[in-house]
Amino acid sequence: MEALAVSRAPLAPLNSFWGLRSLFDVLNNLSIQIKASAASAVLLICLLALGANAYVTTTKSAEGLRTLSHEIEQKLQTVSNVSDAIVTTHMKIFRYVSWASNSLSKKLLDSLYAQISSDLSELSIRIDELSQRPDLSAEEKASLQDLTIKWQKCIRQAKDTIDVGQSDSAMATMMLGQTDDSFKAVYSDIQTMSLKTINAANTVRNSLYADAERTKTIIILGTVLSFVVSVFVTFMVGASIVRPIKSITDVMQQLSAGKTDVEIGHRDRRDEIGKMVQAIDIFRKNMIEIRSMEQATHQAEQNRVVERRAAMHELAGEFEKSVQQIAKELTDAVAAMHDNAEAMSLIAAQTRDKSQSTAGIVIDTQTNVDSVADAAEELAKSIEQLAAQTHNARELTNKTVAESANASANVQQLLDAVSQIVPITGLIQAIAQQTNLLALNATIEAARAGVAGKGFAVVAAEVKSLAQQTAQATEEINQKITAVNASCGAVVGIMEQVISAVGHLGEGTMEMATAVGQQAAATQEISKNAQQAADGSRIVANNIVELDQKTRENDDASGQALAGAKRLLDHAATLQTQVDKFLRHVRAA
Amino acid sequence: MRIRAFLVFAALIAIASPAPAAEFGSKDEAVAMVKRVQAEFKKSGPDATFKAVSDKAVPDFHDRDLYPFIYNMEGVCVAHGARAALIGKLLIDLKDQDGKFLIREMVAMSKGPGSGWIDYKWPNPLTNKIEDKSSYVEKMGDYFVGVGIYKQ
Repeated sequence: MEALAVSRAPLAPLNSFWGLRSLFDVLNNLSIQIKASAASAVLLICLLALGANAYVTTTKSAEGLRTLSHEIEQKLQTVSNVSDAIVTTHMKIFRYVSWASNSLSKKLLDSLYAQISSDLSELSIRIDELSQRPDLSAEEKASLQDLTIKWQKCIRQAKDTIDVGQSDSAMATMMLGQTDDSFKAVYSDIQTMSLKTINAANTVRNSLYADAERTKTIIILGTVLSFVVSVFVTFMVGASIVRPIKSITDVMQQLSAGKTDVEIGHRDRRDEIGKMVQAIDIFRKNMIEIRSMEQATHQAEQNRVVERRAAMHELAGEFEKSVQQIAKELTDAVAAMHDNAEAMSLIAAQTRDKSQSTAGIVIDTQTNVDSVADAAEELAKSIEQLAAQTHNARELTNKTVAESANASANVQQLLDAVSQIVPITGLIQAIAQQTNLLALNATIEAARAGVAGKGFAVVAAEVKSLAQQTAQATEEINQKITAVNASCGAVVGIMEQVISAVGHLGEGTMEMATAVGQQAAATQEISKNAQQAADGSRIVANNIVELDQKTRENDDASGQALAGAKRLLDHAATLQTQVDKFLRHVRAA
Repeated sequence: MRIRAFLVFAALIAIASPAPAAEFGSKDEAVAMVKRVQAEFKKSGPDATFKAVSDKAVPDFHDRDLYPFIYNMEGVCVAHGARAALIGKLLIDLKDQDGKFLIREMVAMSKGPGSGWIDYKWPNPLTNKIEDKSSYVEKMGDYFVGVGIYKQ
């Protein structure tokens, strides 16, 4: 929180340092991309420096280690070998002289002599090799030169000693002293040399250790420095980007909320933020301008509305006045028209009633006339029919007479036929009797036959029954024929009476036909006159109906005129309402 | 072997020698021998003198325990009357039992006073024992010559 507060606050304490202030100015004017990469770049540079240092130091350490392991250690080993060889050879010389003094076998002495000689030669070679090493320091070279001179003397004395020892052990013992000294001198030198080499190795080691320590220090310091610098740069860059962006965000929020009087800082910066601020300033100015334009437009609009409303009011007043006058005139006119129409309608109604009653009368008259005519005509038709029927009756009578005569003849023929049936019935009765007898005989015969004639007996019984039935039926037929004969006789009598009656009827019918003819002529005359009366009354009735039609039409027209007037009146009222409504709207607007 | 032969030889000489004044040589006799070597050196030159000195058959330079020895100034023995093995050996650093650099002193004596007596310890060739010795040394050209007596 504290850090945030500090970063939010103006960098007054920092600005008090001229250097930081100018650094900040430079930083502010750099593009954001460069700013963003500044911390990384600083870190990268520090990293590169640390890496380079590490590389150099490591290379040097490797070189030192290589020197130590390959050169110095080898050298030390060689020196140590030489030193050991010197001691060994020295001791062998002692042994030789000792052996010589104690008169050991010549063979052993000679062997030792050869060994010593070989040792000495080898030592010479080793010392020579050592002194010719390319990695010798000047000090080492000097001491080796010294040593070489000493070695020359030493080897001579050693050889002299063992040579003398071959023949004169006492003298050789005597010479051991000087040989000893020489060896000691050489040994001392080689020790010195060894020490120097060890010192050199130590120097290299110390240098390596010092390098390692220094590298450690450099890495620690470099890391801390990198951290501090990158934190500082990050802070600076953050302060240079985040703070102005926050303030610009505030400004933009206020602007978007409609506050145009906000103070916009960071105008002098030459980076993206500066450009952003300039753009925002342009936005703000545009906003102010647009707002003032809007206000002016709004004012003008309001003025215009007020003026228009006043004009509308005036216009509405005038309009109302004229419309009301017109409406009043219209209403008056319509009322007058209405009255006229009502009067007309009334008259028409009266006319209609009258014509209707007249027409009714005429129609009644005509109907009466018509009915008279019709009756006359129907009467005439009835008479004609009567005449026709009379004629038909006469013909029918004539026909009936003829047919009665005919029927009489037929009945006579029937009587004749029946009388011819009687002998036939007598014959049938005789046959039936004969059959009956035969059946009886058959029965008797069957009985005689016994069991074998049993079936035949049954048939004979049946035949006998049939013969009896036939005799009965013939009897009944005879009775019937007797009845028919009686009836026919009666019929013939009646027929004769009918024929005489019909003859009488024919005469009456002739007289009636004559009377009907006269009546028909009279009736035709009546019908003709009635027809003429009906025609006249029909014309009158037609005229009256026509009049009634006209009157009805007149009544309809006056009714329509009245309805129209009423509608007009309604319209006038509606118009008045609508106009009022319209004016109310106009005035309210 | 050589030593034995030498001893036999020396014994024969001792027995054969008819008139030795004493068993061991004296200081005067030593000096006289040095003078003889000097004379020989002047007469015959270095090589002949060295040969004669080293040759035990030459009686002038071999008398009982007296014998001459010649070194150059570097301390190299060039002739020796008793111990031929030493001829050609570098003995400048030779020390006696007391640690005395006797050859160095002889060189210094020759280079300095030119002659004189020097005491030291040295194995007697007759007994091969280390004995006190006193030698007279004298410069001889580029060399010095000395003859010593064993102190009894």
